[in-house]
Amino acid sequence: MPPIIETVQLGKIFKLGEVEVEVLNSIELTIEEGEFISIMGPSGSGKSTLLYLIGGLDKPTSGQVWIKGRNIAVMRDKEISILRRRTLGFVFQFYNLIPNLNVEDNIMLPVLLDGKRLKTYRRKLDAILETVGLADRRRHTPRELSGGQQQRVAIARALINEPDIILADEPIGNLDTKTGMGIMELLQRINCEQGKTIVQVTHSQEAAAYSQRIINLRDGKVWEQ
Amino acid sequence: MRIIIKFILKNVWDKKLRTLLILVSVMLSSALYFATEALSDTAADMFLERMRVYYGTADLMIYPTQNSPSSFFSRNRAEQFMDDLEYIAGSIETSASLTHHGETLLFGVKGFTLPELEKWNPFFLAGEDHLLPFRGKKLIISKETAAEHGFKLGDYLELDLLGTKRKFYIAALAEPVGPFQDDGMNINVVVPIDTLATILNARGRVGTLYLKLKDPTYKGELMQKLSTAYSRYQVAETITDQQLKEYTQSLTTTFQMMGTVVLFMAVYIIYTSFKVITRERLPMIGTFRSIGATRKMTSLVLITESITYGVIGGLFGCGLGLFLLYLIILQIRPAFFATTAVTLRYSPEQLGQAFLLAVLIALVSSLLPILKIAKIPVKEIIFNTMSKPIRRKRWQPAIGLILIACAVFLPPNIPFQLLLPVGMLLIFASIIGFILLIPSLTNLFLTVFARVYHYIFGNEGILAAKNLRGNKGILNNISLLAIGISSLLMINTLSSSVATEVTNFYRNCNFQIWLWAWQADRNLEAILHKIKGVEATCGIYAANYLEITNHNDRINLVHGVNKYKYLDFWELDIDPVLMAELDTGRKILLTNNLRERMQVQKGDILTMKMARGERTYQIIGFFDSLMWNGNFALIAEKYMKMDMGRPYYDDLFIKTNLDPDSVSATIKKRLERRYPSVSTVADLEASNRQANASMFNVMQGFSLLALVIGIFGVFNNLIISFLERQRSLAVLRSIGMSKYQAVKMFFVEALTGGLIGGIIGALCGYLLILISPMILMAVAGKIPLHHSLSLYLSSILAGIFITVTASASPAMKSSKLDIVTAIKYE
Ligand SMILES: Nc1ncnc2c1ncn2[C@@H]1O[C@H](COP(=O)(O)OP(=O)(O)OP(=O)(O)O)[C@@H](O)[C@H]1O
Ligand SMILES: [Mg+2]
Repeated sequence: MPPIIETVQLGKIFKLGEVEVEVLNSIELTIEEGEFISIMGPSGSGKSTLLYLIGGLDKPTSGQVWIKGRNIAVMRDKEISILRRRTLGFVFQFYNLIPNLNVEDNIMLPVLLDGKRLKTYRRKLDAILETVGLADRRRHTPRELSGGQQQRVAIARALINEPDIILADEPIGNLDTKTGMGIMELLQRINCEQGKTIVQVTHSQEAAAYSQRIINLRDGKVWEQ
Repeated sequence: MRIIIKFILKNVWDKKLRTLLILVSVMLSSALYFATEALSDTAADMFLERMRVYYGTADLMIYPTQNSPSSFFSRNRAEQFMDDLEYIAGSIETSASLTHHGETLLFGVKGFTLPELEKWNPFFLAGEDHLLPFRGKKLIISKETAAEHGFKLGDYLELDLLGTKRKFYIAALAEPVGPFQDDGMNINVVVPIDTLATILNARGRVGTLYLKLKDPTYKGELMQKLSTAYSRYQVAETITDQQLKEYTQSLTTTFQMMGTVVLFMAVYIIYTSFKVITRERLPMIGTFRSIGATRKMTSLVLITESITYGVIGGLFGCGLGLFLLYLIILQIRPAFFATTAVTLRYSPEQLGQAFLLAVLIALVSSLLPILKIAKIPVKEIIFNTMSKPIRRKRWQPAIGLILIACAVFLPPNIPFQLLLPVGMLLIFASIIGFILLIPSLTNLFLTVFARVYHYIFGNEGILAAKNLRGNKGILNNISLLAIGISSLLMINTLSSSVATEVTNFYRNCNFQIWLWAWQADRNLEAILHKIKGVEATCGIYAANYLEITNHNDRINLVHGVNKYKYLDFWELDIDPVLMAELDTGRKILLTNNLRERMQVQKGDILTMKMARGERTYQIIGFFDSLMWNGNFALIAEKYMKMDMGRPYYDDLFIKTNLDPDSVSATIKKRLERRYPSVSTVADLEASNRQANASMFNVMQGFSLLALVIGIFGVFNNLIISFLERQRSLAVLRSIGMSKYQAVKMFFVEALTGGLIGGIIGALCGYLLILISPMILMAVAGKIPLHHSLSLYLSSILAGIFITVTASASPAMKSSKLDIVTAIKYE
């Protein structure tokens, strides 16, 4: 079985006019199914860039990203969209919920985009809301929720389509320690109980402690501990 | 202060499209206002100018009537009033014909002395040859007409004058102004008055006297005196103020309505734009306030900004207004005017008013958002803790419903004088009512659509419906569409209804030729009957502008009719029994239009001021007719003859079984000495229809303008809402929305917005159409409106077309969106 995520010679260069900034330089990374991984490194070291490349939100300048044995660089927009909604789940630092939709609608977005009937997901939704502890907040809009609650909604949204991989960019970067640890416990539970592969970017040692492996990024290179 | 202004300038520069939209809105409103205001003056001028070919600059004229002892009279009695007069000009007028290249040309021949002609109607010669002394068989002709027919200075024209051919020498060519204008009917030439007097046996006398007063306010008194002096002749004003007003009012009312619609849209666009502007500037305002700027200062800067829009828009608006006025005049002036240059008449005050209006619109529509912002405490702005205004305003739909209810259940008996203002008010009320109802109505529609969309558009449809709920940009678009579409609907329905009525009006004519001739009587009818093709004739006595003393009103046209023949020639919906009843006494039938106008009932008595004194007529019934805008009544011919002292018919309806054109040509020739005016009904209809068509062309141009601002506004709203939703869109893309799905979602949203806007516009339009008869009644008469289903459907389609087209650009942008950049930064 191939590794669930594999990067080969992955490089990313940003061009700002004449100046070229090499953010990632031949990154070789292998992540096996069921792993919980933290990516750490100083600000500006390219952590988010790496995560977005893995998620297919951005295109690499060189090298490849393989997800479940498929090279996403050669995928067309439709295929990569399907990959994002079925195989990947994203969680961002600023939650990124759709403000005019309520909790339920936000969580169900990936189902909606996948063209499935919402009704068949009722029980699934109930279960997930239970998991993230928001069963009594289904009709609230994001504005009426706290940061931690919003992040739980984002996690629920990432889970609804039962993806194999969850990509989280500083999921607790915007939360206080206690709330943050609550979120980390939730992620850990999802990793243990549902066997999902989780890749998170974080600055916090405490958060990193929940993961099984830490990858350090510095000067565009990976330094594994 | 300076730094705030600098920030604003940068912001204005960055948002060019929005700035342009505000400027265009301001500009169009002031331009339309100006054009409408100036139009009535220019149109009045045009009317007067056009009439000058007949009346010169005279205030009063004296002429024989059918009852006068002779067609000619002495000017001596008028000359005793010379002290009060600027001039007296005497003329003899007749008609002539000329066969030229096989074609019969009709001439209007006026006899004048040159000095009097110069006073009566200033003219300019373009060339002369032995013009002086102006005696003998010489004539002056317009140089354009001459060129058109190949006449040259020094040519002889063999005019057929009262059956005898006489050669006239072309002694001068004149510029085609004043007495030498082309009036679209005859070729107008001037000959020495003595020459005509000799031919017509009228030595020393005149056929018409034209008088101009030194002091126009003395007109009424002088008319009295002249009437006594010339008791058996008619002393009349050349053009009454009433005529002038009627002519210009019908023209301007429609433009006022259009202008109001545009004004409405402009105010709405500026208001919504300023809401966005203030929202955007909030952080900046907060920062400045925190470092010491007062509320007044920041508000003042914003107000200055809005006034600047007003000033710039106003300046351009005045320019555009002049251009617009030019275009309108070009479009509505009669075809035979086409050769003369368009002269615009307007006063600096009108330009000033238009400019002021521009500033006022900008200021008033932006004031509310500006003041709202000023109320927010600095702390809340900086910490971004202000409650976002999502609270539903419950009073809005309630007031909206009340306003609409007012318009629907409008009090049925509104006095005639109040019809116009009340009608206008109700139009405003229904538009505002619908705007207030739009959020609730939109939600209602969305609930319905969301159900159906799943089946048509799949899950993207559901998503689109969810996105639309409570979306400000969409609500703004729907409002803009509703205003634009409803007013377009109203205008189009009005114009097509009027056109239909004109056609129907002539369809009621059961005759083919309409004749006016001098001293028409049974004798003339007998002559007509001998003409080949004339089948039947019906003579009619007509009286104009009869005063109704007990109602302080006037009836513009009364026909004295023959109960046996009239309905056979003119199919009015009148019970023959009523028709017969006319003959049983002084009875009168009124149009329903007059009934509503005078608020009278069957059995009421009208006291009419007639030639032989006041007479009372009893109303015996009502009918519908658009004759003279519905200001029309019928009495029996015998009472007309008696009370008006009329020995001669005023109009003759002629039925023919041959080609009406050739029959009317034969009649013209045969009756030459009686100066007939003969038209076929088909020609009358065509010219009427054409006059209407050019008017409605202009109106449709206006409504197109409204549509253009609408599209512009919709486009602006879509761009704004796209910018606001960029982040949400990136999020959707990150969780698996494909580019195709994004474009589809935009498309469905646009479609839905357009559909709802179209439907609400159609509903609002329907209401406006229900109200508009009140306004029509006040300005034109009772015109039944024809609702056209296809028009409603096409306006809904237009709504969809507009939003879908306007959303092409945001949809394109959405598929090019850089997800990472849009998502990364808060
Ligand atoms: N669109 C872009 N254009 C140019 N440079 C970019 C762009 N996006 C990122 N960069 C640069 O790439 C580098 C890495 O950015 P990235 O956001 O991946 O850092 P990070 O490790 O996530 O930092 P942080 O911990 O602060 O989130 C930075 O130096 C940044 O300036
Ligand atoms: Mg980052």
